[in-house]
Amino acid sequence: MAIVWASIRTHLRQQGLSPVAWLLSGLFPIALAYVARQLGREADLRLVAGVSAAAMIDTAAALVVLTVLSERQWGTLRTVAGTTRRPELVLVGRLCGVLIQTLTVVPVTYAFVSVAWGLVPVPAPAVAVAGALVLAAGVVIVMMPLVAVLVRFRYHPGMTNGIPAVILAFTGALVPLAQLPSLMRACATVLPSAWAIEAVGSGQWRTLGYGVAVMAGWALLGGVLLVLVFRRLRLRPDAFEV
Amino acid sequence: MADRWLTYAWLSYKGLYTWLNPWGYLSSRVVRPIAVCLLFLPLGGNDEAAMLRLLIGSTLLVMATDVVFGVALAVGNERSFGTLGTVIASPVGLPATLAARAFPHVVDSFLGSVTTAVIAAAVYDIPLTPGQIARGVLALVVVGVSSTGVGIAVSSVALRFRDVFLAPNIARVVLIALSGALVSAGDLPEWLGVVSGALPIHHAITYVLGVPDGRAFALVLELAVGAAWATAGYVLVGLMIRSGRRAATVDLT
Repeated sequence: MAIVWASIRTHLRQQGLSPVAWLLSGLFPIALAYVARQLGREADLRLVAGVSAAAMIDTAAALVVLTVLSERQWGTLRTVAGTTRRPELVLVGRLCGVLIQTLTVVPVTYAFVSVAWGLVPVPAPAVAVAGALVLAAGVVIVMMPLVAVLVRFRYHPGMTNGIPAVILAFTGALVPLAQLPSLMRACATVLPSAWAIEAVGSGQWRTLGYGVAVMAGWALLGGVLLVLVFRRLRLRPDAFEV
Repeated sequence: MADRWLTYAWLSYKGLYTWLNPWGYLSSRVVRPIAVCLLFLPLGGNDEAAMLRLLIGSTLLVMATDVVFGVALAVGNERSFGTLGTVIASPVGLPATLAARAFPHVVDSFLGSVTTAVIAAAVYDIPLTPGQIARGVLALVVVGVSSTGVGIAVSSVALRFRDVFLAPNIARVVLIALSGALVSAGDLPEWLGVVSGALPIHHAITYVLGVPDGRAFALVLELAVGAAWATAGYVLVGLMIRSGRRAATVDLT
């Protein structure tokens, strides 16, 4: 647990004030909310959740790449692998740091939408708060397989740029899922963020429950991939570095 | 002369565009633009005219952002890769150098944008008339040229500061919200409408979708916006280089 806490602290110290991260989590949701509202979307909780999800996905993808690359460059994974501790915990801590950073998007978006178009009513506050947490956690957990890939394989600049855009398009962040083509709607069902947005918008615990179940599936997949990747890499410590 | 310039352009594209590996290119120049287009198109609902506008706006947006990022990387990486000093010392003028850095990205982004438009139109079954296609293609070329100026202006930041990606990301957000690509300029508040008029895409989308009488003038205005940005970019790059030389920060240490 000490490794996780230390890793969270390191992450926030290193990336907490990163200008790109603040831009993506601060300015990007404002721009998207403005566009969606001008194109006829209601200034309601679903808009807040959807736009927050969009900014979270963009921020989390960028931070995850920076995180894994910096750990590999610093050689910390190799060092930890040489001890009795598990190197996966370093990355888990960093992902928790990313989660904390992405959570800041929700109040920023809520404040902007409320100031610009009137206070957004929150009919079911408990579902909204839980939904925001599931949204942020879902966005970060979906990135776990990406973390495994970045640890295992050589990094090529730009190779992850399309991933947040694809997740965003399939999440139905800016419109209700019903307006997406059927194939995209089907893909959205395996994304926890899509369920969390719907849950926050509708105030239904049941929908949020589906989101938690899907998120658990991603966590399992990501966890297994990370364990397998690190088990393989422990045999070749040089491969931990860039 | 032209051959040599094209060779410079090709070499700079190969050497400075860090996303040119197969995975980076596929992800950044193929998958991302298509996904961005698919993200914004559903905002049109079931309204055919709105969908058509969003298809054209998203395609122009993809073109502009790809050019801005490409040029920003190509110019900014001169410093990251330690070749900026050589560029400054070479007898080739700065305008020709910047144009050579930008040209391949305009061509590359054009191809990517056309692919994006075709796939997005097919996914959402949006019909386009031959006239709209022809005007769209011409608008893409003009937006490519006008965005080059923004790309050069944005890249100047990377010649003085370490962060290559901050300025192009700010430009991307501004283009999304204010260029008129997604939100019609008429729907913007008056003062933001003025800002929008000074950005790429604003006049090009008027050319594609506007009334026939004002079309040619809209293209001229788009090119004028590009020329203004290119001039500003040239001045900014020159200032940043001079500032870097004074502070001995041309090379990253």
